[in-house]
Amino acid sequence: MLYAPPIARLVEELSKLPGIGQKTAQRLTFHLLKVPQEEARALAEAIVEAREKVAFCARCFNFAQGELCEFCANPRRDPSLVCVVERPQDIVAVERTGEFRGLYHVLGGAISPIDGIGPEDLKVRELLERVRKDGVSEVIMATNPRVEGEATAAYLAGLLKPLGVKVTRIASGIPVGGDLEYADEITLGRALKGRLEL
Amino acid sequence: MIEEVYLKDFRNYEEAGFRFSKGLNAIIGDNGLGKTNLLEALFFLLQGKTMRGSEPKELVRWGTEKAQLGIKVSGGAAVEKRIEICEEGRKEKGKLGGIRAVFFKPDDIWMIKGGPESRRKYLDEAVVEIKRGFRVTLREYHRVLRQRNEAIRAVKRGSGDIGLVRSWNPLLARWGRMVVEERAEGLKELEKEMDATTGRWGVGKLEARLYSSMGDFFGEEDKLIRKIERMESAEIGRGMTLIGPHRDEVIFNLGGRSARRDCSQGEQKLIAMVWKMALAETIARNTREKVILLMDDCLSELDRRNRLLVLRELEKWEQVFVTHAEDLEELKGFNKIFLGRENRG
Repeated sequence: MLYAPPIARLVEELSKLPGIGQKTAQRLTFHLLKVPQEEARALAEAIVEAREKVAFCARCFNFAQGELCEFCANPRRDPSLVCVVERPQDIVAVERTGEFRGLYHVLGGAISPIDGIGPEDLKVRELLERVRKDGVSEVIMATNPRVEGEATAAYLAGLLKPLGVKVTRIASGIPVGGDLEYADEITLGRALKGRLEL
Repeated sequence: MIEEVYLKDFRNYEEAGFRFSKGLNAIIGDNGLGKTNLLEALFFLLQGKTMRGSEPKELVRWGTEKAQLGIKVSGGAAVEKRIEICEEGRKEKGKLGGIRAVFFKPDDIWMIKGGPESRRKYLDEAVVEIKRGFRVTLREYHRVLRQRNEAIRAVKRGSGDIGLVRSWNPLLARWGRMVVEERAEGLKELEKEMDATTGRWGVGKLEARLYSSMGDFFGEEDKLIRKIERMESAEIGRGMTLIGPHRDEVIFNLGGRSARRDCSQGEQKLIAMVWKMALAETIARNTREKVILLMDDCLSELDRRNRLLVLRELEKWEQVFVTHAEDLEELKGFNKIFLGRENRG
């Protein structure tokens, strides 16, 4: 054992986080051991509070503090428009545009056969259910513009169109192989050239 | 042009420095004295990678900790660059701008002799250099292909959903068509340069034709998607995607004869060299950068007439490096660098 057990435990827990390797986990641990007691406690409490108070919206699977998320609970949002995204953080990106007044649906990822992720691992059944029951008139596919997101959009379009709902895909300017979060214009030309009708 | 290069503990070199001149530099020396290693050092300094795909530690002379390379380049103001290579990676000091290298190695003959896969590899490596964005196109296509193949295999195993395979079809069509289109455009640019060279040599026209299962669908994505759909049952039977640029073939013909089947070893080597020179010309034209040709062992296996053809072509370049095991009469008048035992580590 290199460290005293409480230190080793903290290093181990931190190294489970995405993007944090063994070395970074050690650095964070030593940092946390040096900061004032209150600061460390505040971090621990913030983690516990976030986990306890934030759950998933029963309708759209965004993060929510109650049964419904802030969008689903807002009567001024248009429930006939549903924007489908892969992850809750993609909602933040769409909201930043200020262009969208409808509701969201968070799939929880994208179809990826090589990673063994199929429709049954995503909130696909729930989306179909919403479209059938909630009077949805248009579903906007805002999955990530990488190939998995495109295939997911195409797959969902195939399931949704027979239900008589309009299915659209966000268009030009979307970066290739990137995340919606980090949208840039460099590949705009390519995105235009390769635009796809659903 | 490259004025000077310095090597320390790089491959077989203990410590050595070389000065080069404009035009053709002939590096002459017996086997095992480090001719290829010297060209590799130049390539590494200019391109930031080795043409052999070696691990950093292979570049460090056996028994030492780190290799050091230094280069001085002129053309406008003189610029210097130094690289230190050790097992963990490398450190660079200085930056070279506006100068690049294209490498020819005797193995490049496999672009003619080898299977379709090796020709696709050579074509793709070339197109990546001359068409911006092709690297991304290729990467996306291969990702689609892997995903779709996996979806097909799941259906073949009986655990998949055919709808999942179909959802990849528009992507296969879009990226596949883009790969084919960009390959065809790149090939056309190269062909122009190859024509110029073979025309001067009077060896007959060198044709490079791309045959693609997605070749006839430019601008007709819907038609292509329908063709993909018709392949479905065959694809599930074979457990793989049967249409797309991963099955393209490039056919080389020299003066109407199949380069692969009917050309001699020497002719095949000439064709591979013409290809590399065309690539260098195209890069130089598209980027307006100076391109240095590094021609490793390019004269062996050629008869005197063909050696002269190659040398006449190479001497037009601003700077070229040619290696050969022996001094040749044809090399008279060029700057000669003789490698001796003293360089050997």
